[in-house]
Amino acid sequence: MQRENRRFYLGVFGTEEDILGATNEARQRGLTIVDVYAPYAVHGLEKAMGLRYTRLPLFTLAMGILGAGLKIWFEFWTTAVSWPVNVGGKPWNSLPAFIPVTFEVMVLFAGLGTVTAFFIGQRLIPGRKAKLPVHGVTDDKFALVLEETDASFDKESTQKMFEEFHVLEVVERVEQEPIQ
Amino acid sequence: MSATVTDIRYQPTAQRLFSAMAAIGALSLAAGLVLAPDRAWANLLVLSIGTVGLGVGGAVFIAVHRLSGAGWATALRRVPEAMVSLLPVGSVGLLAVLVFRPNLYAWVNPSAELEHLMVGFKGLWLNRPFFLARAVFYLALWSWLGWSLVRVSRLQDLDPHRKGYRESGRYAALLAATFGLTYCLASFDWIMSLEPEWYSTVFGFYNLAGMFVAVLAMMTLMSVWLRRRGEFRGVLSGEHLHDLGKLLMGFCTVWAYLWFCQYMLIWYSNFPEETGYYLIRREGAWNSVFFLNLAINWILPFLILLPASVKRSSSAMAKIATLLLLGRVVDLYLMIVPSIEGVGGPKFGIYEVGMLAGAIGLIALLMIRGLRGAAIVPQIDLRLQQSLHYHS
Repeated sequence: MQRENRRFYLGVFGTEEDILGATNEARQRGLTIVDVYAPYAVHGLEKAMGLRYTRLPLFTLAMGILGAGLKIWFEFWTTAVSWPVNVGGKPWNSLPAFIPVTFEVMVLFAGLGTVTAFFIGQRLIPGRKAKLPVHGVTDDKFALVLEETDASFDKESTQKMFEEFHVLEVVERVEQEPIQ
Repeated sequence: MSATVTDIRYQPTAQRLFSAMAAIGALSLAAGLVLAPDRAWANLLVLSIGTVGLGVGGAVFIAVHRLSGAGWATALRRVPEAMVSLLPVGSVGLLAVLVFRPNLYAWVNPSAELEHLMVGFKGLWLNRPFFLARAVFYLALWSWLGWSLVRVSRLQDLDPHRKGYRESGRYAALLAATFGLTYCLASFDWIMSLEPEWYSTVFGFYNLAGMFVAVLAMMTLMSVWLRRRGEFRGVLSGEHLHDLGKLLMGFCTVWAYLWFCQYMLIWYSNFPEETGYYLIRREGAWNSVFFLNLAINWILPFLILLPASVKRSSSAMAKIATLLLLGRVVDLYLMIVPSIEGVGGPKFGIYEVGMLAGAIGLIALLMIRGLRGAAIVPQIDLRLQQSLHYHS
């Protein structure tokens, strides 16, 4: 498999305000933000990183519709086609009686589908080892990971920018990754 | 910080329009009382219960927001506070119906076929003096607690040393502890007892869910209006709208859930004394109103409110809020009027349109008056900064 060297430039910060400021500044300078690591969900970080809206809710909707549709069809088939049973004199094809179960199956499909899609999308397969950029990002540190995409990446001015936001540590790292 | 009382200078054309609508309503009511008394009283009952619901619901919103320690809506609190000022007018209309038109309620002079009902607990519960005393008690309790919450909030503006947060907590707790029970019992009294033979234990919650949807819709509509005018510029953000949208979507789904609970259990068990309610409403022209009700109170708003971008758009939210407020009128109309007029269909005409226009005009005038009484944003509150810089 062909492999490529990727150079990463990391800043480790100590507070929520610093990571937000540094991320905002990096985005405004047009630097490539690979990811931001934080020990808890920081409000406003998705805007600072310039993340686009997730398409996950659309998938949830699709799974919900699929689950509801399949269940309605299944109930119709079992009670009205395959094995009609007279329950309380109601017609075999009785929509109101199907609704509660249809609702439950819709929620089940949408819920499990969303979790599964999220895990697949984030490559969070079972047994995967956690890969942290630096120690402490699950505890009390915040890390901003930039990529040196080309030779024009200006380390000096980036470091200066990091220092404005009280950077604790700057790390440079080269990793080999398969070309996707 | 000194409190500044808002001077809402709305255009004189708007004031003239609302006053004209209120006058049309008064005329339609007067003409209706003479020419078509049953329709006029029934419509007065529909609109009064709706107005009382908005009034007490505003207080309930403040109480729940306060008790849960929430902060997001503190800056918008003057809107539900203004809604509390709808309580007196709604109460007068409602008490007028209960006092002057007892015959709307079939149990007051029970016919021979209803005689057998008026024994045991039902006979004791449904007697006129007790019925009227209950109505006065519910309305007085809600007015006292609602007005106390408003008063504490306004006094806080004038005196920063006042312990208003703690004080409002006491009234909020009292309202929260008593409201659920009293509103359900009031729904049983004022609406369900129109058909004394019919009963549904979920009916109170069903009416409560519809009421709370209308409260959130009213808050949304007024907040968007205030932002367009300028008073809420820099106060009402997309984050607030997004949360109001989520609440609207959630509560209209609660309404649909209870709508279906009531319908399905009655449809499934198929008892004669229970199905009567739906038989009237599924025949003739009422059937279209029956499905219209479900469409505008749940199907349409649910589908439209699904994307986040819609919940953050003030023009879309104002339209949905208007739709849901109309939906509340249709829902109440369908709960009340078929029980009085019976099989056939809605007699929809000049009285209905005139009185609805009157209610809209009167509510608009009262809301503007309520907003004028104090600074448009609470000046001093523990949670104010949290609310102004809110991020959902």
